[in-house]
Amino acid sequence: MRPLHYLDTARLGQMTPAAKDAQLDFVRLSAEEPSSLYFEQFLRDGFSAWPAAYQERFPGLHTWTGVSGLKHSIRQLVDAPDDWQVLFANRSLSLIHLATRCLFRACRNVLVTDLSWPTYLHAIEHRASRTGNRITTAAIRTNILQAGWSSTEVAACLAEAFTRNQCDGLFLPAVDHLGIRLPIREIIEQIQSRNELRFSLIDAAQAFCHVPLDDCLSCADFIVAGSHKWMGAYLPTGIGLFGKRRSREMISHRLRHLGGTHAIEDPLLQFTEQIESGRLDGHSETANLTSLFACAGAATDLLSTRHTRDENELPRINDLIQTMRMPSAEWQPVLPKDSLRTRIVLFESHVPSTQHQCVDAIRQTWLDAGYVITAYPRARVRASMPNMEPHTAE
Amino acid sequence: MAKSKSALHWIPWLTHPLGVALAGCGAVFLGWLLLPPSGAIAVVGLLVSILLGLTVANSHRAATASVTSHLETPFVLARDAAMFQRYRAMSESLLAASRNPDPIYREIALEHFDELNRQATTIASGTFVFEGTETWRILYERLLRSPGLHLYRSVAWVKNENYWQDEPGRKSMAVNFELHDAELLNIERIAIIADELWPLSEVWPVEPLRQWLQQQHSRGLWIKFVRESALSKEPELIADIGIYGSRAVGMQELDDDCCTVRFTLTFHQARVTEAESRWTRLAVYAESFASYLDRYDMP
Repeated sequence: MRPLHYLDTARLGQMTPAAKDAQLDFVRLSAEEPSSLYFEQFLRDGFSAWPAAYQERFPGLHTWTGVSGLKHSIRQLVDAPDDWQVLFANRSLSLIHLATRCLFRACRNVLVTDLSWPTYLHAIEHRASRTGNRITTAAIRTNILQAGWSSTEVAACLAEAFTRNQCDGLFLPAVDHLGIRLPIREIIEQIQSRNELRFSLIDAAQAFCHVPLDDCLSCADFIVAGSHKWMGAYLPTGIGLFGKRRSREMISHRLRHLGGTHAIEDPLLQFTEQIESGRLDGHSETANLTSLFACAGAATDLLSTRHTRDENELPRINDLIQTMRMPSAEWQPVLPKDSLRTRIVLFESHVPSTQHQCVDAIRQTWLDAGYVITAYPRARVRASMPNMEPHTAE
Repeated sequence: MAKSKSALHWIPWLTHPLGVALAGCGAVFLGWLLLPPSGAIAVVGLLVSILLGLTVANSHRAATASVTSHLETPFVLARDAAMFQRYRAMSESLLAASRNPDPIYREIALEHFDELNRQATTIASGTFVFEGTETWRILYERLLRSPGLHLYRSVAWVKNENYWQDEPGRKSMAVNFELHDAELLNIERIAIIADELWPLSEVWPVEPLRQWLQQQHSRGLWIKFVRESALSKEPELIADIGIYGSRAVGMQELDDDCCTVRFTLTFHQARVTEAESRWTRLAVYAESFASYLDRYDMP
């Protein structure tokens, strides 16, 4: 039997060892002592604040350093400055909702692209119409994948669309779900050279722990990411980052205002903000905290192996593709220009019989060849390349 | 009596339903008598089209106030119950006044009616003027809260530290915050700041003006600011105005103590377009509070 290569991280990443240990021990804790005298202190201050007896019984939770500690780890993971704020939510969509509330306080017309995740796009459209504002969509995917646009061409196109449509806000994915990496800094700099950019929101769900986020941190007002893909926590936790001086106070005010009016619909977001500030509201909805411990475990693993990982190793992608044993020769990679590439690679087949196959049949074909991938209609396959060279088949 | 330039007035009988009906019947009878069946059908069709056209033209003419004769006025106004009620009340007042034979009373009454007329003419042109009072703020709040209004753009000409710091000003700002926080209204403000409140040598305007601006920025209002001297080449941009969506524009004139001398609110579309154009020009000179924060530390 061929070894199985897991290439579906862009959908759901494999759980890291420390995340698994934390998860297992948290499940044991839930079964044995779900609400102890020390639990709130443990949540706030971490494993070290627990009595020794508990530490001995649940050693897998040693990676939990409290809400503040986890926030610190997230900042370390992306090299964010210490004064950047980190938010946790049960769903990243809750953070998108918060971010769009901020976006449309400042902006009247937000530029988006056809690379955006449809659920997020829908949330933005909804918020725009509710607040009497609008969005403008620029279609760039075909030009990137078929016409081979460079990062300069992408930036010029978006800057031109921004100016022509008199936009003042921006919503972009740092990496889209099919693996296109947008040159965020270049785009924003080009836009700002000609226009007033009031607020930029970046979807980093596919970028977090996959490619460096320096560009986003240098110019974005709000970044939304998640723990269940490239971070390797498996359980989803929405992660929000903000800290630009121009918008920090406004976002904090919005968060406080929504919390004060009970308008935050995400219990984890509400709970983590309250426990950190020491203002726990006894009447708030019970939050599911499980994902936080897995998130802390994954963060510990990633930080400890940081020196061995190279998020800039993209030139090796071609070599990795060469080593793959495809189900058949009909599958060809569809690669954007080098500067727009990531470890997510799209494969296409133009064979008519394959094009009519359902996604489950395509997944099965690839599984038979030893690869777990994401399949899309019209014979498209997404493979998330691992960080190290994959084992050759057999 | 105002004369209509409509072509219908040159054929007066065409404006009467009976005349139109008789003309149509005559034409159909002649068509039936003289033409083959298909020709008769064509004539009937043509007449129906003409009659429909005339009906639309008549109704359009009736709706256009400028061509309404004084005798037609009550009939046209009757379509608008609220306005008709006012028309009746004013007519009754005029009738009552005209019954009083006292010449002195008549002289004074006519002067007052002339003044009322002037006010009515201003209102009819879409403009309201409030002098020496802060009561305009009631109307201001009503406008900001009106359904369908999503954007309020305000130019604040800050001549001294007292600007909007009195009780009515603070209440108006509270309404701004309430509506903006509730996401019912988007608010943008450009502050034109007198140079003595923001000396060229200073990065930030004086306190508490800076705090006033920062508070609005923190609440999410889009704030821009500019020194008054930067607008010396375009002094017509220096004014205290508010643009309510694309519906109305208000202009506030203040005395040296920042109390309202006059507030003019107009719904005249041309004035609103003009104000929007001024807003766009002014925005070129002003810098946003957000981008200023990118460059400078807060004191």
